[in-house]
Amino acid sequence: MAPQDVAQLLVRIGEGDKAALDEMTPLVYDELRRLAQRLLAVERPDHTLQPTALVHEAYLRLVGQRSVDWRNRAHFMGVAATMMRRVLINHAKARNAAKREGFSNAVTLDDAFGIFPSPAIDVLALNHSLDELDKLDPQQGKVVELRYFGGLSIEETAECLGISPATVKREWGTARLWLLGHMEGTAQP
Amino acid sequence: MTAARWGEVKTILASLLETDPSQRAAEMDRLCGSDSELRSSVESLLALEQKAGALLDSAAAPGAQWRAEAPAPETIGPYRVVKEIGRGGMGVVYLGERADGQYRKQVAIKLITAAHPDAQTGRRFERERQILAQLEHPGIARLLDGGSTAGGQPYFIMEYVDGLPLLEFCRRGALGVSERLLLFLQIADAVGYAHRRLIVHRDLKPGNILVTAEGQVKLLDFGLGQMIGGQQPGDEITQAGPAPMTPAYASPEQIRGESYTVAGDVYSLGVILFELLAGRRPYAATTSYLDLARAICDDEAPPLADAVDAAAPNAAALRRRLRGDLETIVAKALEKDPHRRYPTVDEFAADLRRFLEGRPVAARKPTWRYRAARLAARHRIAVPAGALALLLIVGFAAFGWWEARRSERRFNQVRGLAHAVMFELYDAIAPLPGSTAARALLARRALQYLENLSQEAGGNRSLQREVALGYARIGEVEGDLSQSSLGRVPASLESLRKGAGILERLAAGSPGDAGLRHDYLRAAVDLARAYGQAGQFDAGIAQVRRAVAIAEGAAAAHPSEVAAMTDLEAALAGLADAVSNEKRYPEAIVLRERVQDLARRVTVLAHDSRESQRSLAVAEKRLAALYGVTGRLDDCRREYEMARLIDEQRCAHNPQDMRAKIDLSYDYSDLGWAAGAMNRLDDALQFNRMALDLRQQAAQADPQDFRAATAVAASTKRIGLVLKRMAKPSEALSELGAAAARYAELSLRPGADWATVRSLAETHQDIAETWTDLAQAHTTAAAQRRADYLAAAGEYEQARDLLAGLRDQGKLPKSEWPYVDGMASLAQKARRGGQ
Repeated sequence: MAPQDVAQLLVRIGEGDKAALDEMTPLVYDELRRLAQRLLAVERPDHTLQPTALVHEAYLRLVGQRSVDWRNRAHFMGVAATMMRRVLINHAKARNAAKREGFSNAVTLDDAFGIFPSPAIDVLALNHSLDELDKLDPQQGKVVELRYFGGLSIEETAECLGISPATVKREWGTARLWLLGHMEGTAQP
Repeated sequence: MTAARWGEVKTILASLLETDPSQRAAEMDRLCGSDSELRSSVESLLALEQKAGALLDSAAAPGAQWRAEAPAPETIGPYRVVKEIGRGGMGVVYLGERADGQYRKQVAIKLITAAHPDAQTGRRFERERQILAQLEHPGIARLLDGGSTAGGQPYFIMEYVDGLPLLEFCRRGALGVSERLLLFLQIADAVGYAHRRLIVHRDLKPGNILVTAEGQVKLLDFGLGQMIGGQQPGDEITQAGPAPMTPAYASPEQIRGESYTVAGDVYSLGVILFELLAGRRPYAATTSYLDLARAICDDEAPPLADAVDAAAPNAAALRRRLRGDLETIVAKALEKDPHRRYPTVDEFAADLRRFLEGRPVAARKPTWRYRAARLAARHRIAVPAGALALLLIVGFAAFGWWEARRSERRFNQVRGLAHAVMFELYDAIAPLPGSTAARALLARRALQYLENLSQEAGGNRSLQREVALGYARIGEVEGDLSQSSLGRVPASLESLRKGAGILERLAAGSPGDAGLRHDYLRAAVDLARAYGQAGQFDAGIAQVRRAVAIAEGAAAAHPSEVAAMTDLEAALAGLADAVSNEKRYPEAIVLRERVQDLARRVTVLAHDSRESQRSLAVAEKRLAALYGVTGRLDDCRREYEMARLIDEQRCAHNPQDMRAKIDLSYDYSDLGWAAGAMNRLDDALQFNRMALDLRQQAAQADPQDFRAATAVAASTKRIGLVLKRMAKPSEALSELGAAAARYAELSLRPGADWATVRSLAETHQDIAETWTDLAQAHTTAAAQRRADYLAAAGEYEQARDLLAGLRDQGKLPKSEWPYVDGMASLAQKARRGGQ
């Protein structure tokens, strides 16, 4: 797909076109997977692969250098956030399985993200709690995904969801408490 | 936990997180009330605050790691980008080096990403660059070069300053008062230097001021500075639009969007000096821009010494040092009136030098007479619309640029701004007390701009739509008595008719446009209601029937679409109201039951639960009222109790929401009516007093709010009527008299409509009847009885005169004409009793 088309998709996402978002997501994922495999093939095995570089290269390849304005960037990062969540979860699952079974030899995109320092919290538990929050309050769930997995700023998150930064702040502040409560089992069911 | 429960917990939690920890217990009591389960949910989550901050910190999130570095361009112009060192509203700042190896000096590269790259922008930045290049001062980071990238984005190459932000420098060095003053004098000298070259900074703040390891102050971002006095129309430099500012350091006149002069920089320097010395800014940090803006414009800054945190080390000694001259100097820089500040930064600095040298300073403490005059002047202006007027001014000051040129780009700017003012700002302030007058002005001014644009743009349909919506908004605020309003029915009708007419034309032109259909239906229903209020019932019914037909069609075509459902709901409700006005109640009940059913379904489906909850409560109430007038009292009470539950929750969620309060007052009042109809008079009295209490709060919050004032009168009257039924005629007379006085006052307000006058007439009739009761009770004292009858006769006559006046002006519905003669014969009868 040519950069103009992706840029066009981003514009459509910006205008609230859900179909464009669906079209975009696999595209980003595939591009990342392709890049990761290519890099893994040429780099030394002990080389740490920077996910930063990956995502940005994907962005440049998909959207092009002279990209669109920052709002479209926010939407791209929104898509990437969903993808990152998936990647991290898969990776954590694979790591747990490897621990159980005592081996790991599959080279996948998810392994490419193995250089993540182990987060201070259990990503799978967080993901489980986030799924619950999604059911309770879909908008709030999305805010967490964008902020936590996507690393979007308050303003970018606001732009991505079409809500005010103040709302994002409130959603984020209360979601953190809820998630921790849920993970620790202190929140009432 | 259910989604609804989480919604409640979340709201309270969010509010507590923004509350100072010392106030939280009290706030928790207030917000949770007696709901212990709610309270324990909130408490258990709040207890996790610190832990959550550490664990789920966004900076430590996996996502943040790959987002930390934005893809920096490798080179900008002839400079190699080393790394990103800052990011702001205007763009990104990189550390850079000369790419061609000419010299290895480090520079800061400011890439302006906020601007739209085009020829005009390029020229503007070029001009600005030439001006800034004149600034050569050790205290100002130098502009070295500039240009635009291949993509057309302008950039500035600035001297790279390796230093600490001002406040951090002072903190780390634990600097004392004199050392801080010396640093400040460096800043003042740099700003004074720029002023002498006719360049103001406009965004002075500690974050823009760095101090190098050698203690040299460097001001950054003179990039926003503009030529003083360069405000002639057509001057490209002024066409940049309103410059960004940092509200915490902005002067009152800058907040209001008035012209920016050196006095603005003097004020900002005053705030910086205040913070340098007292350790905090004069106005409390708040998350609300509105609160801060109001404080800056209205509140007196606290004396410098009082602002010192008592817990700070050596607080007492510091306070002693700050009291007296320093306090007076800072207060002079922070005067609200620019003319009372130091006329120049140099004079401000000179006074500080005099202080350091122990000589008498020029600044004087303001006299009490001046303070009192200021207070009075402030309240004369500030009370009616309070903070809202301010917001209004902020919004409109920016319209100043309309006066200049009208290129395509400016056209879009003005349109965008008018749109923002008309729609976003208007909605944002609607729930606030004191906003009625501000909203009317806001809408009228914005419409003026839209109309100008619309004329220029000829057949631009989307602009026409905005103009139409603008009319609808004005009509709404001017006349619709179901919302807080100024009560100007004729003007309102005219505006609504214009708006609905334009929308109907547009909607007919594009039948598939759901948004247009919605706008048209809304305008049509509003217009129908306004016809009803103006007494033009036939026109109202015809109008709303057309709307219902269109809405039914749309809802049938999109059966599960919330928007189509709410459109139909509104149209049916409008028709129900119109036929109710004609007393065709069975017909209205059928319509209203459909409305209630739709409203229930919408609360399940809709995203905005607050608004749909309110709609449901309204639907319950309107149905209840119809049950009530047709004698189905148990059904009636049940529906009202449901509405009351919803509205009590709304009030608990947002105690600032005046609309919810008024809504709840109607629930109480109507429950009072139902209780009265069921002969439970104690309950009726109780409910009406609860209603009155809420209404008085609303009326006090906004004395201009016609609807709230009317509601107070109505509640007072109802209390009187219940007392009358309880056979307490003297208590009843005092309440009814108070109600009549209120209605009389309201009927004299400009634009009072026929309903107010009729209510006054009714109240006179009620008083007359109460006198008659008294007369009949005074069976033994004949003289007393006669006096009571004569009083009754006088009240009946007043009622008759008022109704006759309405009839003669063509404002009384025909169905009510017989009352005029009815009052007259009652008056005669009472007179006979008085003889």
